[in-house]
Amino acid sequence: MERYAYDVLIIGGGAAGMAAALAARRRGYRRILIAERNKELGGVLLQCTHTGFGLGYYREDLTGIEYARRFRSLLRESGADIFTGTSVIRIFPDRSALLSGAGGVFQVAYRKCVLASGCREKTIWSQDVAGSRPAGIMTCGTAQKLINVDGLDVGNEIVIAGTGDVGQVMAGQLAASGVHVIAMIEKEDRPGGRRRNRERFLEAYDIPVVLRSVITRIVGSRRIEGVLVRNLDSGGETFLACDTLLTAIGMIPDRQLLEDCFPDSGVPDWVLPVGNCDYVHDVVDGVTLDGLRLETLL
Amino acid sequence: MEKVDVLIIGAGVLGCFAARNLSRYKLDIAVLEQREDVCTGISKANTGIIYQGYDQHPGSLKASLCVRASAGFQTLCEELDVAYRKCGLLMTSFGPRGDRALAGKKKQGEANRVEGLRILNAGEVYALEPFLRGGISHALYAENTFTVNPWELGIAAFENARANGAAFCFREKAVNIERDRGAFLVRTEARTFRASRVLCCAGMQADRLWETVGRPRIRIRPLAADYLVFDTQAGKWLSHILSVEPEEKGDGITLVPTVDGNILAGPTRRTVRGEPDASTDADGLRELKKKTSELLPGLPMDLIIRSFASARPNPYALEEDGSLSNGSILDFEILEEDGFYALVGIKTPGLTCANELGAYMTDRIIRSFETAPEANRAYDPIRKAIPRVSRLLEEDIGRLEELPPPYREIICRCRNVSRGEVVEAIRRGAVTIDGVKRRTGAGMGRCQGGVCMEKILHILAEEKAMDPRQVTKDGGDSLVLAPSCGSR
Ligand SMILES: Cc1cc2nc3c(=O)[nH]c(=O)nc-3n(C[C@H](O)[C@H](O)[C@H](O)COP(=O)(O)OP(=O)(O)OC[C@H]3O[C@@H](n4cnc5c(N)ncnc54)[C@H](O)[C@@H]3O)c2cc1C
Ligand SMILES: Cc1cc2nc3c(=O)[nH]c(=O)nc-3n(C[C@H](O)[C@H](O)[C@H](O)COP(=O)(O)OP(=O)(O)OC[C@H]3O[C@@H](n4cnc5c(N)ncnc54)[C@H](O)[C@@H]3O)c2cc1C
Repeated sequence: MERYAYDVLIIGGGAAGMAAALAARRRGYRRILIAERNKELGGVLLQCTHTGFGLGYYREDLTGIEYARRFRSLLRESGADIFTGTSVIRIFPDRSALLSGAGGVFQVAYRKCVLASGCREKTIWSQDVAGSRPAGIMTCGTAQKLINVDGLDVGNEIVIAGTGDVGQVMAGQLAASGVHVIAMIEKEDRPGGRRRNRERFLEAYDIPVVLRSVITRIVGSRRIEGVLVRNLDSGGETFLACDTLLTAIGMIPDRQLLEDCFPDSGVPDWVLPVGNCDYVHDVVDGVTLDGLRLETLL
Repeated sequence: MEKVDVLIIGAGVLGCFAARNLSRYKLDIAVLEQREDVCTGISKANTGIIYQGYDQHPGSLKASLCVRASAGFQTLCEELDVAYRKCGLLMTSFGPRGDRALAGKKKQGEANRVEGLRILNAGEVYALEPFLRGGISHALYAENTFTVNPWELGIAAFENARANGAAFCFREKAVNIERDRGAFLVRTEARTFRASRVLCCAGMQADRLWETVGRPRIRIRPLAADYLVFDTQAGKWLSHILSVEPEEKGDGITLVPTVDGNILAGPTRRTVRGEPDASTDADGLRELKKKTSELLPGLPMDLIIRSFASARPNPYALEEDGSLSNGSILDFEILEEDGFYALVGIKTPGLTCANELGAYMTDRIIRSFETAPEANRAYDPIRKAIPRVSRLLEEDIGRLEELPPPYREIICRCRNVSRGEVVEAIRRGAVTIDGVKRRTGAGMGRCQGGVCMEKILHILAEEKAMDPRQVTKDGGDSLVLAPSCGSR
């Protein structure tokens, strides 16, 4: 098996990974590799067609796609090797990793490893939800990709579980395109997410938010037909008919590679989680700054 | 009209293994399956344990088939290239009543000639399972108990039977059967088959189908079951199957460390009215959580990634007066009238015994022909599984390099499933997202398809030359994307 040597291996080429490559270069490392599973660098930004990116870092209101594009042009400065279409499938305690992609299956040895693998969305199945498991249930992130990247529609009568930012973005976008967003269901006594999103999406499109409530049951044999919503205060349950259930109930840093490599012990200092893989950020500007800050940590 | 020698109705694990065994003979065999794929019924939603046979009454058909199946199981898995985990089973007790039950099971197992059963004391049990709650009294250790992904076993039998000449007809629901001059006419919506022998393996519907020609003798009363699945991160908490003999009245629980390193908790027992619909029940799930955390205190409940439900096809004898027997029938019951056979109400250990039952039914059917059918000389018991990147990662990283390029593109990040695996699954018969999932494991990890579902949707559309809007999750009208209703 081929084995390449790098100073820094960056796992994931989203906002965090790209910034980390610049940081590594500024720190003086020369042999830097970004491995990105997808065909293009940018991560979750590439499915964000809405604006609201870059207000902090660029002092401009960009779409996610524009932000990614702009940052990619900075990347040349890093001199990093970029392997797109390439997944890191294992990291090993001896500071090597196994990569798989268009270029084959190969190993990379490194001195430092930046884990910039982003986060994953919690699914409805991690909640206390009974009933069936029909088609028509997905996370808001998946829906966003299907709609914005693939140009497909996901449904017509939509309930959204949770009121996280991504949920609000999706609610607003769907409503703007004429899809009926029946309600967003929120456990807490007020909607989550940032105020700006609440104004731009929930309020602008009059999206009904059902507070202090959770989904307790899914109904429908083949395609979802509705959900049972319980009010946490009264205990009363209401049936909401829908043909699609999207979820925005939280995100968790994706550190599966670390868990596989160090199942019992702590993470050694040569692995640096950054961006949403470190903790989930509200805005991309914070992720970028996080990545750049590695200059002093690497 | 299509003429066949043997027509099998139902492509669950029993129908697939019956087809596999029958294909050892020169016979025209067809299998009718109402759904679009094999193993979509209870064969995909069960506990997945390959039992050794201590739980069956001595002298029963169940006991003899189960013991034989258990002894031959590794060989079967090698022939069919099916992954298994030889994890062993610990049936634990918490006091004198449970201890007596364990001793009884051990004795029964020995009467069935089950080998290697041992009673362990508490110290020995904790040495094997350090995370187990305190207060254990003893455990019956059945070291040669295995676990498999049940659908993998059924799919392997299907592929092998098909390679040996059995024809599988999907989306063909047998709606009527009638006798026709010593043979049977089996009608689906579109076709009619004339078969000299019919074997009904229709799972939950087997009683009704039997009664279209046979004298009513058994009725199925479903008993639903809920399950929880824990993430692979929970895997380190458990290395043997744990089954609890309840000290008080009530049900025990079983925890299974699965082939893929998850923990499966279940089943509950829940009566359902009417047709079971694979819905989980809130109380059932709550009960499972409670019992699991009692047994493995400290196991974080936020590692639950999935729940599902199933139903046991409990068979009851139909009495003369039209009432049902009090208890359900304990043994495997095989109905037969003039060349029409039915497996009605085959529950645990039906998965364990699937190949043996297939062999047993094959013998009976073969013997029923006046002139014995010739052996199929081309019969090959060997089937090769789709190469799995995730499994090579554990076993032999070097071999990853030998796989063709599509196996390098990882589609499912939780389970490291490649495009090559997905494409091969489709070429072997998957037509839905769930069909791909059962053949590759894609979408079974903690993100539950969050990343890979969208990619598999496109691969399915591409391979099947259809619009992504037509792709279904699990057949029928389970469209992944709801048809747009116009105005936009
Ligand atoms: C739906 C949504 C809407 C948002 N809206 C806004 C907004 O309006 N304004 C704003 O400022 N911010 C917004 N954000 C937040 C911000 O855009 C993100 O937090 C940020 O882009 C995350 O960057 P990241 O690099 O940490 O993660 P990601 O962008 O997720 O990048 C991780 C990358 O790692 C790759 N990867 C993962 N594992 C591997 C592996 N093993 N091998 C190879 N590659 C791997 C992935 O393919 C991915 O490209 C939004 C976020 C989301 C999810
Ligand atoms: C909760 C539970 C736990 C279990 N645990 C274990 C275990 O740990 N170990 C073990 O050994 N066994 C176990 N079993 C038993 C085992 O799962 C079953 O015995 C086995 O799966 C039965 O297979 P089948 O082919 O009869 O059923 P199914 O998989 O239900 O197959 C029947 C098929 O027939 C098709 N069909 C029905 N009607 C028609 C028609 N009219 N025309 C065409 N097709 C039709 C259906 O679509 C279906 O595909 C368990 C069972 C249950 C329910």
